[in-house]
Amino acid sequence: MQRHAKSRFDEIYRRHLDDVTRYVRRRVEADAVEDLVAETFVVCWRKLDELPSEALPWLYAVARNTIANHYRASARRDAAAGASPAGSVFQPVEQDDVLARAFAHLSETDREVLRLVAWEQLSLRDAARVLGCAPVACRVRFHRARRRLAAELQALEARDAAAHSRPHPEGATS
Amino acid sequence: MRTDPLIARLAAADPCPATPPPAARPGRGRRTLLAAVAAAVAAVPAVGLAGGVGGLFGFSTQGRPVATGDTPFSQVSGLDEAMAELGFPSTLQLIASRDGIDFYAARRADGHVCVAVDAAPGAAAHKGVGCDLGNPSLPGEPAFPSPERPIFDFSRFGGHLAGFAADGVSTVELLDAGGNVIASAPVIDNVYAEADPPAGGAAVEALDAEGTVVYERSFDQTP
Repeated sequence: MQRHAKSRFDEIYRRHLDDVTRYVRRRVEADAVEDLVAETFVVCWRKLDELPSEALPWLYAVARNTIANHYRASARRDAAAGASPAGSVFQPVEQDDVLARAFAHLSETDREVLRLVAWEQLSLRDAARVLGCAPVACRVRFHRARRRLAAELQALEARDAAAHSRPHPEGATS
Repeated sequence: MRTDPLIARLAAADPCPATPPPAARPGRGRRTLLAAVAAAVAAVPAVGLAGGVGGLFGFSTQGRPVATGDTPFSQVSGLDEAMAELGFPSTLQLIASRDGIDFYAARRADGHVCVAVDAAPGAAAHKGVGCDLGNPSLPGEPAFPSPERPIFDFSRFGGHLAGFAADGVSTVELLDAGGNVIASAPVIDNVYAEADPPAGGAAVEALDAEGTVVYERSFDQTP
């Protein structure tokens, strides 16, 4: 039995290690990744009997809780040290400045459902499993988040365009 | 959903992509571009054969020539820049329309092949373009079409099962993450298409006339 469990765990580990590592790396600072991934698979080993046949959304959900605990612990440490915990929230959208600013304006709830679809490339059904909500609720959450991101982007791009098209202080004629 | 321009833009900003686009390697002649606004841009290694597109793919017809500037791809921001970057020829051949999906192919002046797929004619989304810019003689970079690289697949980009297949490929199947076949499309005129396969595709496999799997590629791998 133990051998069977070990073999099943090995298979899950081999198959999903890269996905779980990428999930964590997208959400936390680099030096915390290894520990959080290891912690996720420790939970996986302990709860092997509870694992559904599609393990990856379940693993993401575990990783999500592990990351939340990590941030809570960081916040406690920061508070104890007199620092603001807000600075510890990792926002790794770096390649598209306007998108990064728009994304940062969203709530964490909005950001997470968008990340799961865009980065983990999950279906809304699997995203619902990660988030622990009903598929219908996830669909609604996703579409609202998408709408809010589009609105933020539109506002920022309009603002940037207005700034670029502002007449030169000395005036210009054509 | 992944062809939603906003989600595609967010996906392109993924700080930890599953398969990071390889950097340009000057002198080796291979570049890859991935993920654009409304579709995807991919590159595969070159095939240095002379002659027209028909000769290369073994198509029964050359298709209908269409000026590249008149194709729907040139109207989509992101794809038009990608086509310029990839050096698309000024004329493409519309080689097939199957299951609502239009397939285009052309050869650049240097012999490299460019292909394009329009899975939503009349709309800005669900389009993909790709070119081979590679060197077929490089080990590990097998060229399409070849026994090592018999299909050029666009299925990962828009929820369709669609792409180009070399002679000798009879069927292309879409597999889920568990390796189960969830959709299948016959290869006719060197293209295959199934516009609305079940969700959950994770890989494609190519089969010959005997039903033997001759090639399999996960969507986790680069195109």
